[in-house]
Amino acid sequence: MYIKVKNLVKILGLLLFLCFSILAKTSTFIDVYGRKVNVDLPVKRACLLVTYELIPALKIRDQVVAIGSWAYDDPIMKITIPDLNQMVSPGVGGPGINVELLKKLDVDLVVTFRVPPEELDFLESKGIKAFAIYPNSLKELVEVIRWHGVVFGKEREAEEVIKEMGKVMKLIEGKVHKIPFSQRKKAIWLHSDLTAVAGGEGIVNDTLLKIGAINPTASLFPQSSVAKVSLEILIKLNPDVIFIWGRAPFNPSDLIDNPQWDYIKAIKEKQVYKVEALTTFSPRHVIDMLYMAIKLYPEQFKDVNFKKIANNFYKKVFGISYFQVKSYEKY
Amino acid sequence: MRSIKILTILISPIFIGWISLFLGAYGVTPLMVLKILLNEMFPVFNIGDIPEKAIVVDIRLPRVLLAGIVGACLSGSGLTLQGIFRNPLVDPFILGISAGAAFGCAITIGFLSYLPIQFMAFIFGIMAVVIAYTVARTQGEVSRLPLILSGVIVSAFFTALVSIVKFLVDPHKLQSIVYWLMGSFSLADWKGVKISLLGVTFGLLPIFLMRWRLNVMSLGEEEAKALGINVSRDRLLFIGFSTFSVSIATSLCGIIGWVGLMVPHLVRMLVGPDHKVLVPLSFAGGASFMIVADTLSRTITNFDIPVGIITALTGAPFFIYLMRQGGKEAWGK
Repeated sequence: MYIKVKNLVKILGLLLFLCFSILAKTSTFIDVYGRKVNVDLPVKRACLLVTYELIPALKIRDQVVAIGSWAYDDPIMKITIPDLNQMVSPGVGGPGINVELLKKLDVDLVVTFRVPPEELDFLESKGIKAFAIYPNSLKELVEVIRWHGVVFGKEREAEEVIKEMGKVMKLIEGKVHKIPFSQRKKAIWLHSDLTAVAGGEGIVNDTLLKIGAINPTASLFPQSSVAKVSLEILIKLNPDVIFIWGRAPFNPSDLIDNPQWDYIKAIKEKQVYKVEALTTFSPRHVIDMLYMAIKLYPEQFKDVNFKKIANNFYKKVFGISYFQVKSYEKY
Repeated sequence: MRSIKILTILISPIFIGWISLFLGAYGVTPLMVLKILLNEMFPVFNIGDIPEKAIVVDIRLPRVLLAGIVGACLSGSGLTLQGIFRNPLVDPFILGISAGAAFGCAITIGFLSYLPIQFMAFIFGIMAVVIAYTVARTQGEVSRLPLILSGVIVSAFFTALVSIVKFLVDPHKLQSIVYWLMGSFSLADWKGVKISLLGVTFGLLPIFLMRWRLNVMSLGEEEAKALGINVSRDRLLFIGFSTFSVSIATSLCGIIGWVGLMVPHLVRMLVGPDHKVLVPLSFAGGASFMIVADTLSRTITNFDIPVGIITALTGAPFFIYLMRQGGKEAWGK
């Protein structure tokens, strides 16, 4: 009887091993630098340096052991991750990742952005898989979210998030496509400096295009995501609307109250808006888009209840109320 | 011949500044520029409320004036420090002003965005010099070499602090810090011009009035003392005036290097080592150089290239030239 039980345990163990072997598989992915990264799926101990808002969205708290240090200031993270301060951070997202800490945590995948490829190769040489992302468009952002679904074994959750994003994008597209090109408004995006604008590269320019805006600085700087220009150029371009990045150290009033900006149409008509200070690596980027689209074409969106849509999105994607997070009204 | 050179350098900022007002991305015709400027002085033309007026009066004019004043501050301070330290390779940032101001800027952009950058840059610029001076002070005396060494140490310390801030901030803020550290007049306005006049009044003017003492101090510490000069006191005064004007300049437009090194040497080569003439000519030469550099930075491409890049591109080869000359020839010895 004793031998039989022992054999049974052995057989069960073998079966479990076979099950895990079948379920766990290794896949090869190509990151933003073109590096081939082999990842054992699903990832069980990840470090998300920039895409941490996907933790509540994909419900992967148990599979993430470390985060980027900006996550500690992120309102969504503060609300959705009760033990946020207990999660450790090996870096900020850029260069300088703490390898020893990653080894100590036994991390099986680090997801980061624009860390030099040499540093990523160094991590690989120490047995830590590292994957760099950098979405340049909304389409690429969706693919990044889908990729997270695959590596964490949360494809269904990722598709749910993408579906919710799609609803908002579809709403915007449905309203914007009716606007003839001749009636489209010129909008510029200011980054962290009063005269640092979004060029023709990157997710910001793609966002402006998707909301039906004409980004006049895109044609001037087609290869740049950010370009420093003179104020003369901004006056010459004369945008109808100005959007300001949420973390910029200035507010719409700084532009409106400055006489140098008086001759810009957006300033004259007080069409200057600061967009929520959020990461562009998050599904909620589409809520930013909706906010911007409404401010750009209020007449087209007059039947759209922004707060209701935002709240619905936040509840479905993050499981929290939009009103718990910073609202746009603070600007 | 010498008087022609002197006159040319003295009036050069006015001439270059005038030309600069006609150049820019917006494309205002020279006639319109003249009309707008005349109308500002004598409101006889009815030019109406047109954008060109803002371009000339609110954007180009303050930018040209600010560039000129900042150039004068940097160049004048460079000359002064080279005079009191009797070292041709000293520039306004050797005492840590640049690194201190850079840290003030970086910490404000990175973490204290509710505070004005200019104010913090100014405070930390001054703080760096005070630390350098205190470190160098032994037994009530401040000698030349310890002061330069402590300036280097303080610079290194604040540079390390800037690196920490750059490492910790998010990339967009990092970009902002990098822009500021490269120096630019892109946000020049009349308020900035008014603030820069403080640097002229409490920095350059006293240096101008005391310029004859620089001649005596250039002879050497012992010789100056023998001629009845209180070297320690005067050195402190000159450092104070220089630091003040450079801190004001740095707080308004970021870090612009090489001007304080290059322009005084150029002027010295042209008119000789007499500080009575050198001081006003360095002011004028610095102003002209900076206006030219800034005009290039805003006109050669659609980008508003940070002016610090232009000054470094011209300054670095000049520094090599200076090194090859051994500093001696340029120093007029």
